[in-house]
Amino acid sequence: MIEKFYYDNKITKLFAIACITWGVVGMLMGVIAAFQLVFPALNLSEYMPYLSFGRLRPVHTNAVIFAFVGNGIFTAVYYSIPRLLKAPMWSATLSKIHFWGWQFIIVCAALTLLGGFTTGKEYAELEWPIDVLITIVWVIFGINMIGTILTRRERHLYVAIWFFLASWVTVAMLHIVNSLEVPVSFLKSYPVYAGVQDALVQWWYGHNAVAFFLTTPYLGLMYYFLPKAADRPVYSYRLSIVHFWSLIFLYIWAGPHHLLYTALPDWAQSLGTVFSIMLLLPSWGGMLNGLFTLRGAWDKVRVDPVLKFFVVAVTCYGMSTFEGPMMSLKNVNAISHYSDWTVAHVHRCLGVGTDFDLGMMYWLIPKLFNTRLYSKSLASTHFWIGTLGIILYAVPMYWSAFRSYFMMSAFTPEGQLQYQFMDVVQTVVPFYLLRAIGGTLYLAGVLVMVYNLIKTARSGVFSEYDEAEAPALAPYYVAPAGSIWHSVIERRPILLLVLSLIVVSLGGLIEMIPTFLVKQNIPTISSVKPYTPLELQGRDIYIREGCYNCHSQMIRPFRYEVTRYGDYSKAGEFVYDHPFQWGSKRTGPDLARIGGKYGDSWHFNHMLDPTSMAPGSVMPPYPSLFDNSINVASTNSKIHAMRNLGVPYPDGYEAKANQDLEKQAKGIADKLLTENQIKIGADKEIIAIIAYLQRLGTDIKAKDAAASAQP
Amino acid sequence: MSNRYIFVVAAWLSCVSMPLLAQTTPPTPIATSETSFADSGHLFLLLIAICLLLPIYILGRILVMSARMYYEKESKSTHSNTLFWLGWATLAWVLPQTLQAQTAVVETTAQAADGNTNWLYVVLLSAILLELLLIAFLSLRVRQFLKGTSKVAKPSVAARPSLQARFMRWWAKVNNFRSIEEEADIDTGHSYDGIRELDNVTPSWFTFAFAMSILIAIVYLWRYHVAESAPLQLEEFRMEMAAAEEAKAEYLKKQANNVDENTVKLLGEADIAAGQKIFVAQCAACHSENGASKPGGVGPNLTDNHWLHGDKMPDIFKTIKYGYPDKGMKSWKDDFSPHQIAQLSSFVHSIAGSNLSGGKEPQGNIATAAATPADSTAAPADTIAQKH
Repeated sequence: MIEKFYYDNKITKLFAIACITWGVVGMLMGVIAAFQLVFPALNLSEYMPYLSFGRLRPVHTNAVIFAFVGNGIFTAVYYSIPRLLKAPMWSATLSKIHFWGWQFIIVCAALTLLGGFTTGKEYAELEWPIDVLITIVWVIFGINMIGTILTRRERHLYVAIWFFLASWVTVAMLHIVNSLEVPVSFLKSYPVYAGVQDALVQWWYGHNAVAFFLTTPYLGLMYYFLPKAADRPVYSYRLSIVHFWSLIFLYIWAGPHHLLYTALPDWAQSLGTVFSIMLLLPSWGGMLNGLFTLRGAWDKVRVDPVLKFFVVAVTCYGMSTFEGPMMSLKNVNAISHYSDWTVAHVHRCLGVGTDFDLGMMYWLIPKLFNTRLYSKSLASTHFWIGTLGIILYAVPMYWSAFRSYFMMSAFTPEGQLQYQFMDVVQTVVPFYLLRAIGGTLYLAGVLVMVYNLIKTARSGVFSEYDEAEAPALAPYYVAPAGSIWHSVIERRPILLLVLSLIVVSLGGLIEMIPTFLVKQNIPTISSVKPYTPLELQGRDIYIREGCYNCHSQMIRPFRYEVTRYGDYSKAGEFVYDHPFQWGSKRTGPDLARIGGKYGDSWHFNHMLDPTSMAPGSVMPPYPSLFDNSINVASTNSKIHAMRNLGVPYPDGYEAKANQDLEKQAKGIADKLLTENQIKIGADKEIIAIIAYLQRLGTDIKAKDAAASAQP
Repeated sequence: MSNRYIFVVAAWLSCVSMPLLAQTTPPTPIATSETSFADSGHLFLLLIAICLLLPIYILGRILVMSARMYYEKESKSTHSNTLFWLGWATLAWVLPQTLQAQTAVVETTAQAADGNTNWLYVVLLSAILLELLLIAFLSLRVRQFLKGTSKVAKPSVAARPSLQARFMRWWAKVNNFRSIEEEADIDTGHSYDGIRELDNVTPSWFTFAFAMSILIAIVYLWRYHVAESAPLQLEEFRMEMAAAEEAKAEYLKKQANNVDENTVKLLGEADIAAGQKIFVAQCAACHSENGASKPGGVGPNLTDNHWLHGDKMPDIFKTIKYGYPDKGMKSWKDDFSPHQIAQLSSFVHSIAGSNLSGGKEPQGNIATAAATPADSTAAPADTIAQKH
């Protein structure tokens, strides 16, 4: 019996509008942050603490990843899934809850991040109430999607849906495992993992957020929109099978390549490297299937802006997935890690997602509004401005990465570092300016697109529903003889879901369980003690201001790092660090052993005006630390939460903690007064941050000082 | 005809580029030592490189002869032969030079120091690679000419497909493409919202490369964690530090730079001026440019008579070299050379007692012998301070 049903275009339209709007906002934040690195005055620190780089950069990354790309995924899913399954979305109400829930999360995220409420874990900065909200909305999205799949009128699931399903279940796993945290107060929590373990979990998450939020959903998107736009059959069904399973299996293992040469155990690092190498071909499988689908349609690519964006996206995907494994090689990573190279790489990768998004919009909006694109030449203009923008972004970043590497690692024949850190900063700042201009161009291109799409929408009539009809699925199905084994999985969505979950959980389990359980992996160091209450408060201020966005706390075992920053970092030093603060980018110097390097007054003056102590610095000043008082009311619950996580504060220390805090703070304030005639209240936040910075890395130093007397 | 021109140009290029490539000398070793080879691996490579010169020479001779035979037979076409012969004459002329240049490379590399082990390998290997390429090129041409002598009829130029068409054919072959007309045969019959799926075979290079990447992964893990034949990061670090230490000691042995707190002397005016330059660039943040710091400043006033850590040259030297981190003075031994620290110490010594105004209030003890310079060669403190 033929059934008649309707595809809901309204929800697609909503997600598309949200996607483009947040895209513009997120990119604008990026452009502002990029200019802040050149002109520190743009941090507006004298007027308010909310827009400093450390807070703005997470807003940029979260907005672009979760708001722009996220809404782009949902646009694709809500448009393609009903059509691929010949069934409307399972529940229009859930669709709406999903949409408004996600936008609410985005608004909350932006406000809390600017307010300094952050967990301090990159790309997972949102605090626990928002984490809970994300989980709920994600589950709602899953129920709606799986419900649609279960009520489908198409026997087999198309490859795009495999990718959507695997992405959904993996993101759920990543988000839940990485966000396990102990709440301290309404907007403050500590992650349950510490130090090396936290780093492993975080980069397992971070790497696979790239994989399963930014890549696999976009492959799903490509498998729907590319053959549609090109009007060509998908090149190879068996390649789809091979690269789908190999990709999701191998991706999950590669996280440790973000931690090469760190205190992570060697075996885990090696796994990260080899799985990244093996990941290359499965990634290229997606590229090949995309590019070869265009066989016989290349004449269209020249004129059709949609295909143009898709082709650039697919080829960029191929290049980025080649660059990625190369950057996972130890000797290459020694150069690229902490440098602008990674920044360039990730922006090119994201260029992939963005170009898929934009290509989809150019195809989708005219479709939804039953019209033709307002201006092909404007779309073409956008394409070229955007391409120029990416080039102008990436080339200076590569350049600056290599220059700073060669400067950082240069020694005089006498064995001294040839350049001060500030010399390097001064050298790369002009490149940062070029990068900011490149980003501005890219944003300008997107604005051209917004204008074009608005004009397109105005010229057409929006159809709220598309009518379709298809017979219901027969209750019994006998597979035709000779059908491939994989088709069994394709008609059993739950089996597909479970298999995907098994495949993606293997890598994480094998890497994490030994790191957590085998003591040898993180040898304890007896001189490493928990933070004092004042240092703990200082650490939370460090996290709040997003210092980790520019400063690492991980000295790699290289001569030039050990000479510059001090002895290389050991796994046992971080056992009380909830969360770890190793960072991923060094715009400023490493701070793992900053403790004791300068006097308190140096830090005092430096936080008030960085250029006074370090002429030429691009760090923003932090005048608010000199006005705000330490939130001593929170000390009790912080100590309590930390003890629950295994930090050995004595029982009942909560009650005494604030006495210790005040005593230590008074000591610092008094010393500033007597030695430097600096008058500052002992209750100010600056005292806490000085205490924390002066503690960093000193636990081991104290031991060494005792062992080897000064010559 | 155009084919021949391409050939001549290629011959020219290869001839001219060979000596150029071969003459790329390895970077001058930092410290020249007497030892010629780090290990037997180098010697082995060198032997191969030298042995390969013989076949190159022989092949070159054969080529010139076969070419002469070929063109004597095909003497009907006379024009453009001059150009062609010019090409081969060049080759004949350049070849011995190439050989010489390569031997030269081998000799220079032979002098490279142990520290440049990797460079030596790279240079030797690339020399061998170039030689192999040359052999391949020469043998290909010889074969062509020898063939040509038995079969004078050349394939017509017009019949050869264009470069693009040839590339497309190659491209289709490596990717195991089926022609688009045959598409119906490999259609899976799937149609999802109108999207059809073909079932093309996976390109064989893809399968091969994927298998290779898995193999590489296994070998990698084997080397680092089972055979333990490659250094893990801390081992690598120890090796790097040891090499650096050795290079530094080697260098310092030859320099008058190994001054330390026991041997430091007050230096003369030129060095004091150099010290002042460093001071203004690196120390001014805490001590102000004139060394007087400022009320409430981070570092102490260096222009008064008071000293926290001693006023003698060795004391000042030590303060700068090791720092007093608990008091906020960092150690500068990794930033400045011993000589630079001596210059800085001399500068600091020279401004002491000048009592510049606007500085930080005094800290520490009054110098016991501030009036008498530690070294008789030094200029009196105030004369230098006046130049300030």
